[in-house]
Amino acid sequence: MSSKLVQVNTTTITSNVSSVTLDGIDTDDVYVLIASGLTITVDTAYLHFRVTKDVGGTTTTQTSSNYAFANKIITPYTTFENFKYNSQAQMYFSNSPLGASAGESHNIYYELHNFNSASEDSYVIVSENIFNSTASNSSGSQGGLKYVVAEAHNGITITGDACQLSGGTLTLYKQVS
Amino acid sequence: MSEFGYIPESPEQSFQNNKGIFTPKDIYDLTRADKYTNYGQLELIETQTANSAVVDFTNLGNYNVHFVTFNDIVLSTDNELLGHRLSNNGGSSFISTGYQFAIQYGGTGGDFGESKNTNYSSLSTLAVTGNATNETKNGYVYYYNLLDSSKYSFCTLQTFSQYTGGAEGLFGSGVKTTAETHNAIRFLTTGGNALTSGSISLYGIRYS
Repeated sequence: MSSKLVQVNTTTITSNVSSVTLDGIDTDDVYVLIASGLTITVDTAYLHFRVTKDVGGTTTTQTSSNYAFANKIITPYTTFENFKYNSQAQMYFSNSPLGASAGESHNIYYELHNFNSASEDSYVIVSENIFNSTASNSSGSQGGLKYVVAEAHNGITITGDACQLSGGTLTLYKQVS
Repeated sequence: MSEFGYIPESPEQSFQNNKGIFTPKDIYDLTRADKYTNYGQLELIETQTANSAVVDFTNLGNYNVHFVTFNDIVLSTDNELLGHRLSNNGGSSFISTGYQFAIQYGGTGGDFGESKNTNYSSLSTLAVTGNATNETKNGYVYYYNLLDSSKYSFCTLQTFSQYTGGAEGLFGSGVKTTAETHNAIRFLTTGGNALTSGSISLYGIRYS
């Protein structure tokens, strides 16, 4: 069976923003989030990831401590790290301070599972490669995340922590047969 | 009459915002202009059969994110690793130094560990050694920002291959920390010997 990626939502950051939300998940298909060339305004700041849900017609970022994840942080410059928590209020990109110097950007490929299901937790398969400002080196992260609330989620939010997002393109796709 | 033949109006046409009744020629012209809503945003650029020392992709299209699959790659020589390099001159030459990568590997024979380098000759390793029967190499790679002259080029990858010690999977990432356009990709072995068979496909992810 072949499948296609169908664009659901996209945004290209052209001015500084505190966060980016992509919604539009409204079927039981697997969705894919791809972000390339993300840049931030402050060196050695952080970005974090959360899910959103429809609350009375408004897409609302979920900030409760229901994020459980287990990722392997893989870096060229030091011993790999287990990045795991059971109940965080967000997931940081690669558990790393991010670079904001020329050329440095942050790139992710996430698969989103069960987001539309009201009776199941939402799962994310994580694959990303960001640039660590402290080490001046890349920092990859591979693993998984779940939002441990059995409810429907309609999208995601990426938020700057002590910084703003200043560039890059984020696109949400649906995998269809 | 508009560029695309609409009479009497000339509505602006764009992805997910097409208006009017289209002839086959309209669809052809709009598709070529990247203005026709044609779902399926994983777009095959090229598939090549591996039967030489290198496999080069010199047409990367116009995408922020690229996706490569390699399937049933067989190497001609044992004890060599499959790798990939980037070019900044359209494939006239390929950069052979200064890559950084980190790989986590795990094998059916029980070997788990880290592989990493801050100044390597390939954007990453892609698969284990081995050239005996059925010791094929399979996997995928995502490339980010290759064509963006202001950003470093990144990749993430996952592969699964066979060697004498069993089957081994690996996942990881790599980066070339030079902000420049990288407009060609080469697949090769660390020893410079041939890829005997298999196929490698390059896709662009539209609107990424």
